[in-house]
Amino acid sequence: MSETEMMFFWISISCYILVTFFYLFWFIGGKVKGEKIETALLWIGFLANLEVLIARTLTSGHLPVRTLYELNITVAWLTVGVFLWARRVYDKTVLVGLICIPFSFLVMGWGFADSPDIIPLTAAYKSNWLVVHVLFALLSTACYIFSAGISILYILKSRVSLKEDPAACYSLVPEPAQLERIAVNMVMLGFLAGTIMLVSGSIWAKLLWGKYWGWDPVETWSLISWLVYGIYLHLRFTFGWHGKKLAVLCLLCLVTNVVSFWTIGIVTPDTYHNLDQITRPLD
Amino acid sequence: MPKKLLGHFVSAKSTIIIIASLLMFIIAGFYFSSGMKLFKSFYFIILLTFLGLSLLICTGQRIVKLKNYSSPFQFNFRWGSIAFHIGLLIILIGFAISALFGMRGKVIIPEGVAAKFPADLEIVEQGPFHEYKNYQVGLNKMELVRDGSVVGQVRGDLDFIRNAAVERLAVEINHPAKYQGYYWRSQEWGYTLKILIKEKEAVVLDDYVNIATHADGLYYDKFTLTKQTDMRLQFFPYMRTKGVPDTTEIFPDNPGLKVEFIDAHNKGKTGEGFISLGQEAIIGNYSVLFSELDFWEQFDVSSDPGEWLIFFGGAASIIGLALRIMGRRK
Repeated sequence: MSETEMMFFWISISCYILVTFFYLFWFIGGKVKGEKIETALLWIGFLANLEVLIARTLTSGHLPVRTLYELNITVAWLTVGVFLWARRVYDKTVLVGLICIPFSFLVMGWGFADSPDIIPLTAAYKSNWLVVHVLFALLSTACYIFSAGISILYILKSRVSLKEDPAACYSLVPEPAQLERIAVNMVMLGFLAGTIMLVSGSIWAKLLWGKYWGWDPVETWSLISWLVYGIYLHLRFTFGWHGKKLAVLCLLCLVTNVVSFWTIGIVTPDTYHNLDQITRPLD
Repeated sequence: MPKKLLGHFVSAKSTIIIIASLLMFIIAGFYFSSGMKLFKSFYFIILLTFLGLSLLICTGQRIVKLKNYSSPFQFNFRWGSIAFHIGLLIILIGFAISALFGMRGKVIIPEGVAAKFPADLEIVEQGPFHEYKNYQVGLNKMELVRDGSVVGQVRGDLDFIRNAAVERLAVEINHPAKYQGYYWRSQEWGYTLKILIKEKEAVVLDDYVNIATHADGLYYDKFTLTKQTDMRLQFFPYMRTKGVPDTTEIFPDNPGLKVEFIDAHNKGKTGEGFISLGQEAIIGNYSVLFSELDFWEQFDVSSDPGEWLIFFGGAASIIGLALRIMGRRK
């Protein structure tokens, strides 16, 4: 890890932690204060995160999609990026930051604690499909994290809507119908990114292993996650599911995504997705 | 009756049931089926067929319903949804074509040796309607391309020989060669050693020996030498001075061999020693000459007639989803 990367890494984490405190105060206090400072801090953190990615790319000679640390700093950046974009498009979604930003700095910290060492790309990793496949996988996770945050807000807001005197913080959150629409839209974006991830991964697998699909643990759970979100979309658009059950389903769907992205790779290290096993263990 | 049966496939309920069944099948197949047998079973094929039928009928119905709208051909979310589902259907058709008309196999070819295709191939999968093309394949040369201290690429030059015509194609990891509709992919590689073993001037072994590569990064193998003696060979790409092997080096810049002779009955060692490439040594009751070092490469060979449908279906499903998201309900 270069000094530049280390410096911007800690700037990024610090900014993310500070803006989380803003969201906490807003949620507890029910009032938005110092939004300009919050926005500035968030953008500094986001750009510092981008600088970490750039520094890492320059040092390692490849895009940061190889190790757990690299994947986590990239997914953190994408999650914050999705949050920044979505709060511009959708009004009153700033409190989703209570989910997205802590997720970002926690995964960055996890990656750093695991190992920030650079591992060179072996021959199996040297493909343009690596970048497409991994980036869209991370983008789908970022979209799903945002939709899960919206779903949590939906559940909380729909509960307090029934009360006569709801807490002031809920005035900062859109109406449940709008929240539901945003969650579904973000799931659709995540589903599109997930589809690109699956298709690009299958094409790359064909080039590398000679078959589109091998029922590898990571592959299988990626498909499970994709099918589960497919069921979510079918229930929404075909059966007209809405309300709390749809929001809870969104959270359950996220569990499958987390399993496919992080858990299964840890539990089954001999997955084909560990491309060091592909031909040369000492590569 | 047929309309009633058709009704089962076009209902939204059946779609959810099929997807949920697929999900449960995948989980059961993954966790409870040894050797993934469930995924090759008749039941899984039936489930995929139901999925294909449901996609076909539901999508067809959606297209028919379009005429009910004032501008049926106007770009909107409906066409996106149709394109996505058609894309999935095309992917399934592509897989079916590959399963019926394609094949997969593997073959190990040492450097300087030619293999007959398909006679020397170990067939892994073969569609009932696949017809083979006969030719020969020789591995002219294999090279480990350096990238600093690691192997940046594994490059093999294959000579494809058919009707006396020779075509040389390079194979690299992530860059397969294609000949006569067959993809040749580099899957695995290792070392081939030329060994001459004599016992009191009588030749016991004078041959090329392919050494297996193991997940621990080491190259070793066990062979039956005679009825009384087994032989264990461990290859080291780099031997330091005084015959001490370096187990971390990858490139065969100073290769050497550890030879162990083991009694086949009581499993006790009868001889052990190190020799470098080009050297001859007395080990136990035998003289051992390690005269030549080559590579062997294992190739995955496949024919995939449905691949263009699979690629097209993938593109269609992605474009359809993008259209679905972009086209808004008015």
